[in-house]
Amino acid sequence: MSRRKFLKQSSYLAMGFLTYPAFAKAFSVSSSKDVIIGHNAHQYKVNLNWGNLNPSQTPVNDCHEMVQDSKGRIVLLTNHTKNNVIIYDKSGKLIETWGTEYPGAHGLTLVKENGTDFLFITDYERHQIIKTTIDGKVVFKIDAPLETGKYTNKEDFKPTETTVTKNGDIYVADGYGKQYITHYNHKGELLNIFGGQGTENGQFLNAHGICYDYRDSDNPSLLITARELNQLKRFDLDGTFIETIPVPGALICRPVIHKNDIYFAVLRSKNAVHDDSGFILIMNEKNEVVSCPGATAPSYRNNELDELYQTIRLFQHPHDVCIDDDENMYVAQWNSGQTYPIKLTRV
Amino acid sequence: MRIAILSILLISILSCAEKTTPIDSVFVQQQQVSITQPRVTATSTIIDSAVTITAALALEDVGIYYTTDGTAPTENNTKYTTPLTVEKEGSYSFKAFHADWKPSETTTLKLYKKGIIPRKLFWNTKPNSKYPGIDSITLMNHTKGSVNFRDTQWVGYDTTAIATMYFKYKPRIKNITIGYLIDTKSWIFPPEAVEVYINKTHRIRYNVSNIPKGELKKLEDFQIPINRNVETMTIRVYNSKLPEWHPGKGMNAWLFMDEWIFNE
Repeated sequence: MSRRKFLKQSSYLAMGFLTYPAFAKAFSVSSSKDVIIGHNAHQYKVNLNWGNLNPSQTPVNDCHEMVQDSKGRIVLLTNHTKNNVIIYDKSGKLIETWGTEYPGAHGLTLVKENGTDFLFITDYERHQIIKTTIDGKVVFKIDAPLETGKYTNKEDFKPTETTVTKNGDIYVADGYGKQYITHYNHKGELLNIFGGQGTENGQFLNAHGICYDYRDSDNPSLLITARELNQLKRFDLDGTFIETIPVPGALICRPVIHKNDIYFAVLRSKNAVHDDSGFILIMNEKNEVVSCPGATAPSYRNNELDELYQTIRLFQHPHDVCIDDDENMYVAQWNSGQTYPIKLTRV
Repeated sequence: MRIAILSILLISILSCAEKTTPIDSVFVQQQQVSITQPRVTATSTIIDSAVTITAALALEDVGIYYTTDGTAPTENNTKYTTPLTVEKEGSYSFKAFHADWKPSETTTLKLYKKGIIPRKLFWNTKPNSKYPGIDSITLMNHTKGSVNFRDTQWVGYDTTAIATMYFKYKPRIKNITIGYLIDTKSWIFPPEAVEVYINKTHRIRYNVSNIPKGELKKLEDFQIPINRNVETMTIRVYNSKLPEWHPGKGMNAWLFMDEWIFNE
């Protein structure tokens, strides 16, 4: 039985009890209270039923990534080829779906060009990056960068994420392939390649997510996760390594910048008994972890962050987060029983 | 009668007013989701004189309770406050409780008493070259493995494991504990059977019956009764075949062992 089904059945059971007046009072005191997760200024109530759809009509496999478009709609990317893209309103109501040709649909990035929304999809099974309009028309594709000499065949290229800078340059993280970061101009022409597999400063184990950090407008940079290393790494736009920010215990998927903070879905806790031990992590502009919904409260000793780990079995394998214009969060999950995203309402 | 009805009405209105949230709340409620089980570690799981057990779950207002008899803890058992120093082998179980969340699963740590060390050990078969353990005495180094099969405390076989041991002063051995791993996703299963040849005169066969029926990952062990004075002993541990339900059905399962303990 899936977690969501189980929770739903438990709540039906609870409602059943309520119909007996004798239990009503006891129940209202002991159990009828919304629980809150997270720490400091980032605390949330949890809605497990948000975005639930009829799986026979609008199914999902892994819910990989989510973004909010200019109209305020929530766009979900799944690797189910009946409907790779599912578009919701903020209340979780289905608006439309499209996409049947992205079996390895993984990374989803929204770009605004002169007021028009475009999407970048990475597909690790097609070994491609596909730029589309917001309603799914293909604009162009980028294939494996064989001309760099780092790849001998296209199957070695399994891109997981893209990010686009202010001038339209595109960076691609090959998180399931050879761990290189490739840099293209806005037309998709190759400019640079850096990174690669390893544990050195400028290298990655699972370069899963990448994000353009424009918070310091004088010194824009790239934030890239090394998920297996439990690290976030910063590079300049030319690919020169700047710093490593360790997040012990947390397998961070991709950095998502919203206002001054960075939000991460954490796939799982490094040393957990169960695999489905994920949570959410929020870092402020000083790179300090300030809240971990579903996990231990972040604490520092001699400027070193203590190991973070799941404390409540709420999330299974969070894979991406999207923060909307109301500061609420949507959590897309990988390998979590074909469940739809979870919405967190900030309190 | 009218007053009685009025008071019932009043009581029900009051009890409604006490609710902090309407019951049709879309949000997760108290006692709907479980806490994660406590993280339990010990300085060693094989006791020479004493070991220290630490249990942790960094969640505000959590209470961890424990038992030392293998039963599942309740809030009536002893509350864990500081690390425990223990001298006795057995199962130590820990469970976390919290007002907002359902209790955790139980984490059980099994502690063993240090056994007799053979004078000489000779391996008749070799482990798979990828999982040789640390050295030839990994199975007698008083250190257990973790649930991660890549941990070098594990010695991995894809064939039968056979070893011969020689004991000094012919000690009386009550039984042998064989520690092994189950990790069905990684094709690691319990052995099918164990045969023990004692002093070249006696043979004991022990069939292992707990074949996992689905996905499972845990440390396990069994005891084989000996109750003899032992000078030489040959142990053959047979790896099993993958069961019908498994994707690799009929093929050889892996056999991963971390410790053999010869108990007095």
